[in-house]
Amino acid sequence: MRFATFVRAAVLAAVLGTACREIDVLGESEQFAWGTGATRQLTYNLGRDGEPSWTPDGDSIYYSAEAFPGLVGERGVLLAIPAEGGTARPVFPFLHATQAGGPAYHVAPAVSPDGERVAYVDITVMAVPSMCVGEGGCGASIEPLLERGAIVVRDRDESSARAPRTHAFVFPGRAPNTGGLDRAFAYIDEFQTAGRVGFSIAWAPDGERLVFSDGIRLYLWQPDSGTPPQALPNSEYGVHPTWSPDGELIAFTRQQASDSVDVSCICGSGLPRSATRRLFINVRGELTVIRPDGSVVSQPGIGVDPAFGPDGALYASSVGRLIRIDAATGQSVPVAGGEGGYSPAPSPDGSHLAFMKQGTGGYDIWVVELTER
Amino acid sequence: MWLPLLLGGLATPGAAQTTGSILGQVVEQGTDRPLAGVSVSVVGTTLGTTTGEDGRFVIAAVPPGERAVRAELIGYRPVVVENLVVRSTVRTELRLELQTAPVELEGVRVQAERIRLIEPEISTTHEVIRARELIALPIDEIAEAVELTPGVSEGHFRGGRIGQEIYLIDGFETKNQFEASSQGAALELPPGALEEVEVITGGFGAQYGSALSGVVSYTTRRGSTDQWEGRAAAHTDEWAPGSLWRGFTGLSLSAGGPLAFLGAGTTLYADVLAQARAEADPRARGLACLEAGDVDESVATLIRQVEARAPGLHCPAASDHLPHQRGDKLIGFARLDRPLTSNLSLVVTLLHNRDQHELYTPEHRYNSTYQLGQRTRGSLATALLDWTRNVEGHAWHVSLRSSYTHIDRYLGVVDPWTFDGRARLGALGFGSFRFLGEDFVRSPIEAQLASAGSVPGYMAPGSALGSPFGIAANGIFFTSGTPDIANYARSGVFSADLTGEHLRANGMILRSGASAKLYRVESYERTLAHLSGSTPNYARFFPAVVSGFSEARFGALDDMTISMGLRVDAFRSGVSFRADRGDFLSPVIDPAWEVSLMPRVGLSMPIPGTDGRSAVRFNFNYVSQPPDFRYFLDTAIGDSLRTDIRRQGNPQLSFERGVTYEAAASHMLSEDVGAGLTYFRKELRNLVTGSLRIGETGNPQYTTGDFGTVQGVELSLRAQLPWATVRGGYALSRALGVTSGAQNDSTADPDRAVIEYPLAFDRRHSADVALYLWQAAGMTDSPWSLTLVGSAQSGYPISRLAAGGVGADDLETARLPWSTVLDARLARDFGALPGCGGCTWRIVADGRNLLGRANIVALRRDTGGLGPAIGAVNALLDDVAPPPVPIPAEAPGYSAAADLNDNGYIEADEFRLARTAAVLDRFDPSLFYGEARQLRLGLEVKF
Repeated sequence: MRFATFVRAAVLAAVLGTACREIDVLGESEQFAWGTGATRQLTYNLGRDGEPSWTPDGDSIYYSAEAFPGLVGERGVLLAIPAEGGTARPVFPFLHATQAGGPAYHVAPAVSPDGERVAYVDITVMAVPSMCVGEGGCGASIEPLLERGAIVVRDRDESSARAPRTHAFVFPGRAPNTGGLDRAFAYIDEFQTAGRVGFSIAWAPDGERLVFSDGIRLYLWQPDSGTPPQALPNSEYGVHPTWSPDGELIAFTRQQASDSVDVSCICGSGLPRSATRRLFINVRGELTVIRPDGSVVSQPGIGVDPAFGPDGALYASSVGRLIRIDAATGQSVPVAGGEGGYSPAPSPDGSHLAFMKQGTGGYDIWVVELTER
Repeated sequence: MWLPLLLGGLATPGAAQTTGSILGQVVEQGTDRPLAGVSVSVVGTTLGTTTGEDGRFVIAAVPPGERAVRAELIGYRPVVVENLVVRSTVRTELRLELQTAPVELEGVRVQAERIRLIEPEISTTHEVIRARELIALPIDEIAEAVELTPGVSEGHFRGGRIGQEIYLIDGFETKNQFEASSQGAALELPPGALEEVEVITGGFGAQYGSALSGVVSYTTRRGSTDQWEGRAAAHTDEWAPGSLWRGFTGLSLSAGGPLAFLGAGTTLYADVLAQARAEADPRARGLACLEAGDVDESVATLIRQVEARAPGLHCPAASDHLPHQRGDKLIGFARLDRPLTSNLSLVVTLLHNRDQHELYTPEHRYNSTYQLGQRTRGSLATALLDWTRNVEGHAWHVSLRSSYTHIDRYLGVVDPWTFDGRARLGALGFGSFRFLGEDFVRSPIEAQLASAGSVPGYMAPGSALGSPFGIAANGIFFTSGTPDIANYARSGVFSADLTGEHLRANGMILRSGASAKLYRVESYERTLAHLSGSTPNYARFFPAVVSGFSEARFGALDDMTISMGLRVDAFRSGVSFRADRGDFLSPVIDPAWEVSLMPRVGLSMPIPGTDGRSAVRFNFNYVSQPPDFRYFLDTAIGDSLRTDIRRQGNPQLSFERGVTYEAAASHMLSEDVGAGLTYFRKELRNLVTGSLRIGETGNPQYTTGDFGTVQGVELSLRAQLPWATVRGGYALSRALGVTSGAQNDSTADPDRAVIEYPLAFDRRHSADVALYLWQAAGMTDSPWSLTLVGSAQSGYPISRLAAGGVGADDLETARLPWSTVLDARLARDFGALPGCGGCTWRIVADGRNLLGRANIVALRRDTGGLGPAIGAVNALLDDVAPPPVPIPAEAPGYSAAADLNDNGYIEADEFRLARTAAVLDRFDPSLFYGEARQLRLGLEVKF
């Protein structure tokens, strides 16, 4: 590591550590709301639109859309929409034409720094035998479907000769109805009920490494290396990773399970079988900053969906609003116009912030102006 | 000294179309005594002869144009007659008087009369437009000059279907026999390459075949034997304001002169014309809009609804310009004349055409990537050997000629590279258009059928996403995918003919000739081209046409001139077919030769007692032409009834035939003004039709079941003043066809089995006036030149019955309105061009349709108006139901213009309104209007 980079990383770590201590007074600094507050709604889809990600040129925003009219992939297709608004187009049109074989859907797109590749999560609903589903109706209401996910790295150019890189990460064969659920399924449950998804991917600035979460922990992966992803130390229950512009830090949300409830079901057929699930009713996120080697730098406070801006500031969603933690001062301020926002995504030039927000028909993609151009 | 001259033209149907002849008499001035042994020669050529005992002479094979003739005899002062107009199809008569001169004196130069106001010796009805007029006229192509002929209107000659005329270039017939009825002239010449154009509408001689209604004969220019001279011109409207801008840029360059290194007298003339056009066919209203006043009340109500609730959706694309018409045209011509001996000369010409442009189709209006386009390439290569012998009182002339013509028309989807990647100079593109999948379409048909593949690059015409109406316009507009057709037609013709003529100084002509044309024709049509397995219609066949003629011209009863001729034509389709298409085992039939015998008689004479100021002429002609070869194949094509119904081809079609009668009188109203009146009657029969034959109910084949009569009068006026020339004409005609109705079952409805109604091209009234002023009229000392061309014509009938629209009772009143056009070309000479020795330059302003008239040229057949019937609107409205859920803003189907409450969704009621607007927009009447107003400026340099 070059010295200058090291110094910047140290300063940022110190600042974020300070922010951690001050984040509790966030509400008192609203008068310093960040940005112009000028927002525009990019999408109006009646289904859920989420996980915005900018292309490196800042012209388009990729996102995942649910129930998008006219496209196969009811629960999630990857779309690209002009940053100025307009018509959304499928990122990979051919994928939607070849999905007749299964209910796969795609979420959490991330465009590589060179703009040539897109990483995303491919989720396939698995047909898992259930003890209760279909027998009296109780199973269907409480049983989360087992889903198999895979990180896919694919060239944007369909004609590219480079084959997609794929890594599957969700656990085939683990049935959900065996008496308890681990956090992975709790996480899926959250996605299903709250409309947000925790699987996310972030490219390192070098364009060679990825950090992603499988809902349980973070992994580092070099998709072209031929080696499997490596679990990142000290990232347990980590979701929503983001990589700092200098590549020295990784921020993420550490899931903190709090209240839970066990739900049991005696199958309606009267057969001596039952199913019990533990649902985590309230999952709290704690922002955490570590280095790529796993060493913890700081825990800035409560929040989810962290995302580094090009100036090193960290954006996140906290207490139902978007906040900005300044890299230089450690001050966290709300982002003007970011109320109710999640999954913030700063534009490459830092002038805008894309995010998802509950709209007329579920979550939609919005953009708020941070600085006047 | 002024020597009296009598110049005259005799109708000399010359198969040797590249040359004319001069006939005359030399007498002694004062005594009128015929002078024998006078040497008469054409200056600048090797042509010459001597007069006989009666003083008469004849010189054949004279190059057309303004020539000088020299007459000399020892003891007399030589005489040179300058500016003698020699025409390729008319023999020029000349009377010379020589003045005695005991000692050798300088010769006398005299000017010939420039234009003859009446022609008492000619029995044909024709107009001749000479080179100077062609340059002065506000035209882009020669066809516009042809329209000045009385009885010719929009390519229709005396009420005939397009294709009932032939085109000859230096005597070589270039008719596109495969699809003449839709494509017209096959090849085009640059106006600067022509010495003259002759348009014959009646009484054409026995040498002309393949024409029922007219002959257009082009005579090309040859290079000067003295010096090189040329002309360069550039015209553009790129400077013009938006309402006048049509994206036109035209460049032309021509030059001709001697090629001494190839031998004395060898000359070359070359002409290149290039035009770039943003609107290949600009229409007066641009991309027009359907207004409430254009339609009946039920449709008007819908228009008003859209205007009130969604003004942004009412004609969202309306513009001064019709889109998707970009294109260019390139014409190159070269002619080499080389004397081989004193009697034998060789003429070689090369002509190449390339005309390519997009074709506006309303349904693809909002497709920004793919449009239909058409490229037509044509080439003509000719070689002519002319042998001439002029001796005392006689001339023999034999022409042996051969030519090869290739015509290739391709219609398909233009590859976007054509405009994105093609090398260009300004608006001019150098290369040919590329079409998607053209290589595949042109690959051997056997391979195509074996692969069963779709045409590469073609995609199914998709939704209307991206149009102002969004998804509501699905099935109406196509913004994705491509248009779905690909077709081509190409034909090669090898032609050879031999013509011999004997001219006598007393005016008698004997002429005979024979010709043969061997065709190779290919036709390919493919619809649903994006679909694998969609089968093209393909045909390759080898028709042949042979003909022979013989004719004589002779004088009788003093000044009467009689011409009598006989022509025989024969053709064979070359398409073998099964007697019963439904029976694979039925015998194969090879069509026999069809033969047509055509006697032709013409008579002309000055009216006695009028001192040659009045003349009459009569013609009686049998005419015939082979049907368009396309009718041998399955196709849908406009016949004389415009049925446009797809029919089964019929390789056994016979000649289309006709008999024409003509009586005419001409009179010189004054020394400056001549007028003519012609009555004609043309009885046509055996016309190809797509209609059912009488008594038949279901035979879908083309037949020759139509017949009809065209009759009318034509008035022509010609005036020549020192500063102005006027050429005017008016035609009143009536063309009635008799046929079984296209939709009528004569068995079920015998009373309506035969209906007489106007032929589709029954233009009742048409008038044209061309006014040439100052330099354009030959006033060479004026720097100004102005040519005004005006025309007015009544509308064609609307063939609603043929379209299955309304009853016959409505037909007489169903006509298009009158149209009027005024074009002008104004030029001013500025003398020598600085920095260019010997060059002169001028500025030219060229305007079309200066009055800005809309000029309706077509209407919908079902309503007889600009707009559709409510039934047609409703049919499209109901095609697509509103989507079950609102369409969000980022969905491709969303349109902000259709989101009337601006809430980010297209809801059901908004969808319905947008669809209504889309349907109305689809029925835009743009193509129903005439030519747009245009104004160009140009710079011309002569060197």
